Amino acid sequence: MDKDMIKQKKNERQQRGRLVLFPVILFVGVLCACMLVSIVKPKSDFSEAENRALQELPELSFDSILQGDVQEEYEDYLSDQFWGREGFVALCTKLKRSFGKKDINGVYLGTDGYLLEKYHASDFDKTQVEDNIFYLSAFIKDTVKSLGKDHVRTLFIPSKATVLSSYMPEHAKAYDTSYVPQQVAKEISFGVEEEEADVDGGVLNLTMALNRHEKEYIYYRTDHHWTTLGAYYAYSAYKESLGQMPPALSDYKQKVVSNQFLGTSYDKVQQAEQADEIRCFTYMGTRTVSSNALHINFDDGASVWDSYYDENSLSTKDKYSYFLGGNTAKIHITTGTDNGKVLLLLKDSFSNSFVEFLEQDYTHIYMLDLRYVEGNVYDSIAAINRENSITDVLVLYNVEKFMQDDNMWKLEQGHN
Amino acid sequence: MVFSSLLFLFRFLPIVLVCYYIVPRRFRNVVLFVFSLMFYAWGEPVYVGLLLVSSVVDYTLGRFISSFLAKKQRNHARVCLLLSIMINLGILGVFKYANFLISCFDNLFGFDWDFLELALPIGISFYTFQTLSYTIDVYRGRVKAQNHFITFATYVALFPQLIAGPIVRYETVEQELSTRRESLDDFSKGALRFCIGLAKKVLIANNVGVIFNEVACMDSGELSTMTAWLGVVSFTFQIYFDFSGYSDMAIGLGQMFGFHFLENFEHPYEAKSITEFWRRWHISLSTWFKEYVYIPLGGNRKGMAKQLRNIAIVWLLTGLWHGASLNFVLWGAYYGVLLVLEKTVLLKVLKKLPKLVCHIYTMLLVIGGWAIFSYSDIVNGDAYVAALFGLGASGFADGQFLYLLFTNLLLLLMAAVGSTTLPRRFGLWLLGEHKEQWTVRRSVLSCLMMVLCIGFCVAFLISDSYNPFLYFRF
Repeated sequence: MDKDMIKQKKNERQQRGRLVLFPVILFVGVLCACMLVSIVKPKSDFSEAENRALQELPELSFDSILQGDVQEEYEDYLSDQFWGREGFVALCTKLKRSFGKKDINGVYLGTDGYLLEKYHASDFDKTQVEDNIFYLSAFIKDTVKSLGKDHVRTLFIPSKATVLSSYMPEHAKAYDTSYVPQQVAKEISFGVEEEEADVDGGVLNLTMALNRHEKEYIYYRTDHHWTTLGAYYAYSAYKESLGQMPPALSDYKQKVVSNQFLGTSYDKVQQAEQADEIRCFTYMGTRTVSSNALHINFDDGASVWDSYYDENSLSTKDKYSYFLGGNTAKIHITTGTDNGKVLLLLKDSFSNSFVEFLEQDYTHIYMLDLRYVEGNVYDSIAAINRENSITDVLVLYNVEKFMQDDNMWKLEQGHN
Repeated sequence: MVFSSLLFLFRFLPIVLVCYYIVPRRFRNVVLFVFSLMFYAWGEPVYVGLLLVSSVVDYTLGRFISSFLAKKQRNHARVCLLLSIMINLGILGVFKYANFLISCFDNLFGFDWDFLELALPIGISFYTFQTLSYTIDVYRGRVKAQNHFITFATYVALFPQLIAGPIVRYETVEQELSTRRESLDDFSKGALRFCIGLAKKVLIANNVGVIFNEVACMDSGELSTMTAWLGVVSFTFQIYFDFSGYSDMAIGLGQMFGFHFLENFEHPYEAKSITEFWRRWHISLSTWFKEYVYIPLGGNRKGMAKQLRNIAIVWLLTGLWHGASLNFVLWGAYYGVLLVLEKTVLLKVLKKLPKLVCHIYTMLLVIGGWAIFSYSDIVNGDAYVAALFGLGASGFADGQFLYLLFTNLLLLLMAAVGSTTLPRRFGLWLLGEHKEQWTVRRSVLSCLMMVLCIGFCVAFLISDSYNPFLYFRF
């Protein structure tokens, strides 16, 4: 055979050998590089962008390995600490969007930049819901007995998707949770004398009251909470349910304190058309209080403020904490109003931007957050009553969060 | 551990690959064996013992069978084989079927037996079938008994196919277990195959799985007929992409270590009859039942009556293999009946019909089959069945259905196209001429495909928490 031919063939083979190398090097290289980066990358224990604690390297123990806990935690750790995590989540959202998907990681991509959290039957544990309804109803029944039916109200805040139905993607329907307020009302009125049967037990589903203002800015676009305006409409509904006139909206001076707020729904998809505004409402009508009388006591003296607002939060990611600095087990507000009324407010985070409106109505407001209260709520109530005896009770909960809460047992007398 | 996890991709796999290729050839099986045990123990720290016991038993019995056969003591060998079959099926029976039997007895005879508190060991149905293939074939003289325990144990525990198949019969890897040649060509083909399998699983199966899951968890009042059927169609795609994606990853990984496993799927949703469907779906399982049940029972050589009996046995077992629940038995029986019908009458009719009609006929029956199969995953099973038959509590179609359909239309279309041979033909067309050689074009395309698959999959893995493997529980 010709020498050149042999040489040429050899060259070709060499070239082919090199070509096959590229995919091999790339594959092994990518895997190894990602491994090294994720080992070397500095770890953080908290994600500002997602506003949650990140999984840290699990501690080893024989039992937890046998149970598989360590393995699970380690996999969460890898995912949580992965380099460029937020970028990958944003990429995933983009891909899904371009495929026409309208709900991503439990968030509907609504119109006008609204992100609406999505609930599904599988998000709720039926027994948990039944139990919660039972505990709450029993508690309210008991409270009505001692304070009278005009002094106890239960307000259920519907999820954003329920209220802002016209901002939902086409054909999408919010999961219906209206049966919960209904059932609580039914349980409470069960056994009530015939002539009092018209009482709905003071239970109010805020869907109607809020839905009337659907076109206003009553929920944040990127967060599951209501805006201060939404809280105002809920406050109006509360006042009306007590047979009182709410102050007009024009009685409040509104001030935008931030326009950079990206909330919890944003965290799940890492994408938003526009950031949210946080507003602070100041009452300008006839005041019953002098403004410097306000005194807020967190967790029995753990800290003491003279304002509802935490300006520092506005420079962090979690800007909703502007209101009362986030969630605390027990907050005692001395408003300076001098009518002797003492309110117990059983609440979740929605109340943080709501409680300011109650300033004119009560002398003392005690807020209890069951998620953080330790032990039975009756113990906390007894402690409050020793200070100032409670005259009114308001329970204010987001329906879905109420259904999922596993702290409602604390409402059962004697349950520890 | 699952392949579609950051842990596997960015810890386990790179470490195994590096260790495997830096040790001298004679230690490579040891590396594979040790890492396979770690792979299994990650998810099943307790049951890894069961895997080892099973390996020791079958290794020992294999040696005995072969030495008895050499001494022409066929009866002794047969006793050993029976022992192996009884132990393997016994393990399977206790861990997989005991509670099912107990509930059957409780229901039928009013007993009040308690359930055993045993979790199903991952992959038990796969590895017991693999070890059975070994002892049976040693007895039949088709393979030699393996003298090295590590080599045999590597076969049983080999992580690419350990937990979700394919069911690799010993016969098919006997040579490669002791003498195999890894090559760059195989490695890069395997790596690409792995990436494609990963994408099938993470990008398609998981996402259509979300639709199915949503439908499966609906309150009974929410289900319309079309929603229910959309759920079944989604399941149809989920199970195909999930399982064939897993097989692709397994075959690809095997190839990276120099193994050549047989194909497990050949585009089953392109089949033109149920008979053909089962020649293309989970081939390793059908082959196993054919080799070790159907043919030993006489197959089709002993008259029609015997053949029908054999088909019935094979399909009841196939159904049961998929899970200890009545709907799987029903699903097996469904296919048994369909296959008998085709064998006796339908195939002749189908031959005369246009291909499209045959295809539609097949897919309708297959989707119907998945409706039975998925029943055990449905929260409100009765309402679901009612909805499938047109008695949906929410009418024929509702907004919910339209929402699910429109927001997933592209995904479903992609899944439909992806389950045909089109993507493969497109890939070959892109390669142009010299399909078997490493051209620049091929090298670039391979690299591009790998980067895209891995990048997108990582994004989805990080973003999504929903990442189950359907074939895990079998």
